[in-house]
Amino acid sequence: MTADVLQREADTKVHRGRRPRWTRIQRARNPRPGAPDAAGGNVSDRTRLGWFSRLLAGVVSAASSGVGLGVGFGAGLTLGLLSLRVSSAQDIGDYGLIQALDASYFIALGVLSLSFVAYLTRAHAMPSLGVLYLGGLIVLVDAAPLLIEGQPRFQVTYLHAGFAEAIMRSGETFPLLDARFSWPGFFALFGYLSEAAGLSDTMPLAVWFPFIVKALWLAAMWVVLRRLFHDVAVCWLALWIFQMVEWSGQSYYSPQALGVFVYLVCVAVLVVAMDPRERPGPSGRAAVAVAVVSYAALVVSHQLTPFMVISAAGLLGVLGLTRARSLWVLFGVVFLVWFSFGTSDYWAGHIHGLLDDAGQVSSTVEDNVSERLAGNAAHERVIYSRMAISALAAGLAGLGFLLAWRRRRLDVRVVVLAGAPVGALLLQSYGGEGLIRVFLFMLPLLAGAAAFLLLAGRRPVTRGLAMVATAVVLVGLIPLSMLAKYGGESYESVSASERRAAAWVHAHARPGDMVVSIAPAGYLRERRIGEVDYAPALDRFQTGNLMSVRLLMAEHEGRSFLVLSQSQYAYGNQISGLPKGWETELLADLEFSDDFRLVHRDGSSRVYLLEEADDAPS
Amino acid sequence: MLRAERLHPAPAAALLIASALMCFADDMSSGPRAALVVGYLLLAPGYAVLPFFGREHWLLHALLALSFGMALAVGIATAMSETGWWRVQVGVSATWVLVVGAVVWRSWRNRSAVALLVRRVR
Repeated sequence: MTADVLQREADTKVHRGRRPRWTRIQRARNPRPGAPDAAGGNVSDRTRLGWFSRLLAGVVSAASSGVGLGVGFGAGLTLGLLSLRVSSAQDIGDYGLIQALDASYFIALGVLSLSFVAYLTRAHAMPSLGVLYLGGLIVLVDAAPLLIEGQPRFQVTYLHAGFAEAIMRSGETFPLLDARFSWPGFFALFGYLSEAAGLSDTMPLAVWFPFIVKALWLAAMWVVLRRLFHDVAVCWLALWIFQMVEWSGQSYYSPQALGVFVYLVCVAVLVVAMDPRERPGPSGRAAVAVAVVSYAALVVSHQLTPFMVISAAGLLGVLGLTRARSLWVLFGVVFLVWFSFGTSDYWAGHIHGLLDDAGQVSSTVEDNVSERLAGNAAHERVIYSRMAISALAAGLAGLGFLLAWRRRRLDVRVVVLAGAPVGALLLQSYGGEGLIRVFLFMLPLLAGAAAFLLLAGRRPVTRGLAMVATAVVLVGLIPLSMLAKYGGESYESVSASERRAAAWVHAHARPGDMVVSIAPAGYLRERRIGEVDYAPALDRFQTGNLMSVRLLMAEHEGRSFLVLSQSQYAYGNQISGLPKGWETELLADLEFSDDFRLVHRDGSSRVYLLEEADDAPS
Repeated sequence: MLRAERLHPAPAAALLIASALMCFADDMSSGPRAALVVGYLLLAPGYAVLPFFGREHWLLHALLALSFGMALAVGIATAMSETGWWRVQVGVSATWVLVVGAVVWRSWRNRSAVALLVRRVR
């Protein structure tokens, strides 16, 4: 009997119920021939191993001991945190955060990755320890931008905070102002929570949101993968791969981040609570009820994710892979009800665009891939790194599917759930982001299959080689992941000076005034949405010059502020392809212009007022 | 196999203590207040209402409890914002009543276990 089969049996027993203590003790004292020992080796085969395998087994044995794991984890985390302290946001360049990170940061992540690989050999004995490793990884990878830059990343974070603040301030939504108000659930939720907690806006919650929601994603993934792959080590490795490969950054303060969580919870209910091999009890029905109400909350919060849930539930139901076979019909009805009545302000003006998108797969893919390969050379390389890391994950997953199928261990639900999100692409391009979202929803299952491949060794030698391969993959992922995740940090990040400039504008603008930025600047909408108008004017600037921007501002009846900052300059260069340093000429024009007056300056952030205004703020 | 259980006295006590603390939330400093209120609104309704899913499924239970609390809060907040009747304290009070009511009701159904626990504590 091979160690693999033994482990599978053990996992099955652990899954059904804890194995009697006496059995575990007896096996530990009298290991069966061929059974795995603590180092992951094989007792009777050990003598036949070559010097390389003996060396490897020795290293793994030392590293996977309690002391070895403690030292590896502690050293990796401590060094990583220290390296983040010495990294400076000033060094962020065209390739993003990777240029600002100290070299010791990559050593720290490497140490943590290698210690994690050593832990995988003992994951069955210490299944809970993986929480520490994943927690450490989230702190080092997800928290890196916040610890270096000091502000929550992504311009859209501030825009979403602005939506929630608008609801808190006015008690209503503004669907005619922005289409996202037709799906106000997320913004209303955080406005509600913040006001109940005595906060003046939602930014204190937005700071913590990405880390908490990422932990929730991983927890829900764990529940799903544990049922589909059974093996503890495979599950932990899958979570690690997911964390490293997930470059889209969708865990920021946004409705879709919560949508991914609800999606995974619905899948967990369909796969675990409604497993067709088990009879559901009252708790199973309660789980389905929770899935329905959670889905309803999702429908009023986000446009795209409900399609993903319907697609997954529909495929599982139609193929008889869940007991809740008709649940997708109910999901569809809930969606139609909200879309018909709750979002009429949106689709009344967009129905033709929505219908035109449906079924246009090639143009959707073109929107999602070709049009993103724009901007300067550095930006293109970042995009290529994202394609490469996605292809790597998909390739490993493909091989994993093949291997699992050959070994007759492929749970067809894995394939179905991995393929289900693709259906959403048939419906719409989602503004050129559909493919990114589809990959995000596929990734939990792809990561599971990739992890299965990497840990699939049966014999001691192949298991050792698999561990080496796993270590190589995880360490190799580090720079690629940091480039793919944070390659756009020069224009996606928001500095403290930008937020202070926005606060100045919010304090001085009157209702009806307009704020103009040269490039998209979400931080300018953190407050007073619905009171102060906002217009990004990069297109006008590109096609004309400062005069065209001035005309835009002059057309407005109230006063007009022009806000410029470093992230806007970087956006113009990296995304719009303007030459590096393009802002120099713009700033010179503004300085010598009689029409614009500099009314606020903080670091690289400047606020100009169009002089035609009757009175200027002091 | 998932199985249902009545509300155990330990989580019932925790929920009642949290509900009691909610009455004094306004007097707390900003950080603890935010943690208590947000945690209560998102987690307490689910733990109060949902049946126990078994020790093996504690994580699924926690995720479902959070999902339920979040869905309830989204429902309340969306209804208030869509109607323009933005009364946050009413929403919080309604959630509080739901939690306390569910805990009391389910503890009453489980009163023999509660009595046993009280005897042990004495």
